[in-house]
Amino acid sequence: MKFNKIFTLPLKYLFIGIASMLALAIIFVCCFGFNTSVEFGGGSQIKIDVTEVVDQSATLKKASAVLSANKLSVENTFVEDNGTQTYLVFRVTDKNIKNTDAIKSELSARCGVSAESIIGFDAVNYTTESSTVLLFGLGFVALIVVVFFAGWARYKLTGALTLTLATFVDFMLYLSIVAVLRIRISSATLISLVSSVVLTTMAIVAVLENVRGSKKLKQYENYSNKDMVVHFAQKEFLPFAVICGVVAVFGVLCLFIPNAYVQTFDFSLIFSAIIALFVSMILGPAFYVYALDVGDSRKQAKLNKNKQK
Amino acid sequence: MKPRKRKMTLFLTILMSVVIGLALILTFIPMHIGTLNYLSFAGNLQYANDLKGGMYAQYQFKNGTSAEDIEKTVSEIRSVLSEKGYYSPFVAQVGNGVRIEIGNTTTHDYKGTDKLLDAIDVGLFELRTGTEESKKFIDGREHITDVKLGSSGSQTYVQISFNEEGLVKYKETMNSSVTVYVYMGGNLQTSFAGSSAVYDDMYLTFANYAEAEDFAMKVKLGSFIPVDFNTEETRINTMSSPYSTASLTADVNSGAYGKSNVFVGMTIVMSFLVVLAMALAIVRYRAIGVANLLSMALSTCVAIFLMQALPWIELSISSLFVMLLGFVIMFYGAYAYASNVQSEFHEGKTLTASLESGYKKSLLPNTFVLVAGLVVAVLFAFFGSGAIRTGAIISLIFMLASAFNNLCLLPWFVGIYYGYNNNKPAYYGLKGGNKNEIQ
Repeated sequence: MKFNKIFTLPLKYLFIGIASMLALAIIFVCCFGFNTSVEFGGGSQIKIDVTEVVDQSATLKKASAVLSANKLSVENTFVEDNGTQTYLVFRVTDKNIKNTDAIKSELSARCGVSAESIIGFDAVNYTTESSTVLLFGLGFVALIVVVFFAGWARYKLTGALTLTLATFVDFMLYLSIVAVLRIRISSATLISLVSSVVLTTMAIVAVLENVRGSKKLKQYENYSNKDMVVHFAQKEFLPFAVICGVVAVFGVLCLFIPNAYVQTFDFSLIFSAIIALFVSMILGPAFYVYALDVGDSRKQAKLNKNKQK
Repeated sequence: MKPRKRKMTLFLTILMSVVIGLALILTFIPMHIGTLNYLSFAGNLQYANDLKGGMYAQYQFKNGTSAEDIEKTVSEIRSVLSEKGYYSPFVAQVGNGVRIEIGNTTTHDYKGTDKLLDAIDVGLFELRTGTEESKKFIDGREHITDVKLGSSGSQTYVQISFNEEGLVKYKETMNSSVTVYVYMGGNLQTSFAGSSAVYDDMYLTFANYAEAEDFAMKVKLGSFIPVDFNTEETRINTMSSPYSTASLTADVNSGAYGKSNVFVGMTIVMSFLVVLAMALAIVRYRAIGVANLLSMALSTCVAIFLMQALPWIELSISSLFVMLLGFVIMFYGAYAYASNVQSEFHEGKTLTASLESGYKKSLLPNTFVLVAGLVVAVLFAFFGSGAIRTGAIISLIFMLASAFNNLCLLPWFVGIYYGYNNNKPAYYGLKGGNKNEIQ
């Protein structure tokens, strides 16, 4: 029975927690802004001439260490040919780097190349078109509208409000965590966001559908709204938790892949799974019970009014 | 759900085995049959440069280029690359220039990619009546509004449209006594005898389609890119994948070129998790788990076939993430089906009734997500560009594959097995419930 309480935690405390998270995120964004990848916010590019270098992997490791020590965040590295020369190219998310001469000297010393071999710190502009952010916002609004009206058609206003709230809270909570934990915003983080929203919607629809389908069954006629919702949330919990678990395991395993962009995706994927689980299995059922109770009490009040008349 | 006759069940089993076998072979196994080199569907997928390496080009602006012109240049280059089949290029201002990074085609057509990148700094398109600059009568950037390719009979032509000012100059200048000189970037490209301007647009005919296409692309680049590049500082060459820490080579002749340990690592992890989830499903739901394995194998083949057949798809690292999302949705839908069947059985229904009502209960969550996802994906596919559009199309493909899997294939395969066993719920992983199967 104690486990059942997870599905109907007091809504007041849940909303206080979510609101606190959002407030913290707003403060972080106002103070520090969002942490962006090169794709979204631009960065800088550093080239090292490795034509004469025998072990390019070792040079890559040394150079990466120097850049990390100088608090530069390397997003990706690659090799390019340029006629008779070969360059190791580092792309970092930092812009307007100040101590470039010191970094060049350190790179030269550590990598065993001349200072002239370091061609550095060209500004890289972002590659995402400005319409993309607008499109993303529009896409989310379209999703909310579709979810609301489809939910209303099938599950009445209570179901529609639950679905819409869950989708909205999932979206905002994810962005809050991205802001607070300074997870880099890239197309990968946005894909994790979409994963979270889709999973949440699927799970809540499964619970609503079960509640809707079982309301008229004899075996549930003595169940209160709370009992019904808890019963079906419990039923949906295990398969959903398995899916979220698999997603989180993927994220954890890929953390071992030595690439910052992939690791960013992994972190965001783990959080997207946790948020989806929280919103669909804790917030969603709690709000649905509340909405059903409010709906029932309004119906009762109307009936009483009619009786008096 | 009526059990099929044994013969029909056997026939369907053999048929589906052949279909799945063929699908897996065509999807994953490349073959050499005589002179025919079949790459397989998976082998025919096009990759962006971030997964398999490719080519880069760096162009330097001449001094005095405005920010507005730079933005327009980047946008125009993206548009041209998209027309040429490069849907997820890296195009951005780097330092005082523009940098482009694109993947190679599946046939490693480096020369073709090189030619395309070389054409980008072709320079201003001009039409002159003499070799001096003062004889210019058409300036691509000021007078040209559109460039199209067309064919009439066996001839291919390039159609150039002008704005009002350009049209006036074109009509005033063109007559049969004039020789027209075509200049690009200040260099003479060709010349031809003029004729009177009968139409508002200029039509230039070519011997073959390739020449016409090449010329049209250069006229576009020379007219719609508003900046001049310092051609002496242009660099075009090969690069390795930015998502590889092992194959640090841009040498296309090297065996390590184009290999990405990050891509391999992610594919291995994804495959491992898919296999793990399948194994869990088989252990837990037995026949339903096996049916899920078969249906997902077929759905995956269909998804890969569509990805290689549709022209807008260039796999990048973010596409892999979208594919993961697609698999997750597919799995969840299948799990929803199996757990609904289980819960119906727990509530006392027979095996047959549980399979039927479990399927009906899982219909709606799958359909709901499909519809909502389709609306958003179509919106992004239509109005997005580059990696966003590619991601939207891939998610569309996987959503359709997921719906196909969970609404058609999975129940179909369960139905085939039902023909062999319609009275032993334990074989479906169903415990407790009504053990008396009434037919």
